[in-house]
Amino acid sequence: MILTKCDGEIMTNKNQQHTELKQQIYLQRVNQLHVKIRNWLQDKPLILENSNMEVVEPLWHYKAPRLSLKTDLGELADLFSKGTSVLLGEGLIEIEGIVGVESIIYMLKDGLIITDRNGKDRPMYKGINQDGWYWIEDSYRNKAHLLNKPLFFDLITLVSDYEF
Amino acid sequence: MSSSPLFNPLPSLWISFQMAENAFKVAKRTIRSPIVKSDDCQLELLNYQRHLLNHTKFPTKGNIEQLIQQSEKDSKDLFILGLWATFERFVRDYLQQKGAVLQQSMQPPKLADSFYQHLYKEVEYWKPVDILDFLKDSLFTTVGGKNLIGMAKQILEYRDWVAHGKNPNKLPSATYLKPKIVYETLNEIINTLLKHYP
Repeated sequence: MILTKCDGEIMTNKNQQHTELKQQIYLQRVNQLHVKIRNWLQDKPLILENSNMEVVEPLWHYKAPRLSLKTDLGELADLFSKGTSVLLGEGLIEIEGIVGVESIIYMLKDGLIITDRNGKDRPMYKGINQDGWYWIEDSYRNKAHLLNKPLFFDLITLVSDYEF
Repeated sequence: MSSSPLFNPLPSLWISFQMAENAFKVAKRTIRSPIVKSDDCQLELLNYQRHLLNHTKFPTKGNIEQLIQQSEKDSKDLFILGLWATFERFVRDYLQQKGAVLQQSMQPPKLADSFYQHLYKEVEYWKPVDILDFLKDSLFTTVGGKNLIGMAKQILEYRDWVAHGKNPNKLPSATYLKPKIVYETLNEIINTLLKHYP
């Protein structure tokens, strides 16, 4: 596959290999999450639809899967794949519903270490015990939550007011 | 030359941002058409919705939900711009106040005065990235400190991109910044600076 920069220029081989790898890993992680979500929702009365969307990164663009959740009454939420260009993370998915948007960020085990105001080294966010998709809560200081079934349901409720 | 005691100005901005986020959520709920089974209830709810929307300027046509969603995204960018601007103002004030010690220790006093006045003015023109670099070489020398400054540089890059009209051909290294992460990064840097203050 030949990757094209946003300005149309062909990328160098080394850059291309690096970006291709980054993109493949991201797409793999997104797909794995979509499979998990399908399992989490299998006994729920929701309709799940797959489609593709364009991801624009600083040096390249490509197609990534998008997952839509619907009820009989209409759209509930969309999971938009937003790519790898995210501060503090390896990848981003935005969950957008009728009343809100929440983001989940792929983070690596232990995360970024910072030196705090007291001179102590600590992870910027607590709770990152494994590689995975994490949600950072706005109202809680320094805490990241690994995305699991109950948290996913909570996030869908947050963005759509839909109660499971 | 102002020398009022410095305090961390970011927490109050964060509260304002959270209030705005909640207000967007309430607005999105308010514009949705209420649907209930009983006609009486439906009428009452429609009246209440009219009351809530009274004297507001939501467009009557088009997809209002999408417009509010877009406003919310724009407000996130403006928040990051505002947060950076406030952070930068704090750091320049901090450096100007730190420089005041020259006035007291340098000899002769006449040179000290002129020197300090020049420094005070010049601090306003220092490039933010240069300021971050010398903070990294002084108060943020640990790996964790350098990480914080590295994050601040990415925030600055994003801030510049937004402030210059989001040029699609010159994207910053991170095109998505979660406001909470931006806040916590800059907040930690300010709190570290305040540990060495006055």
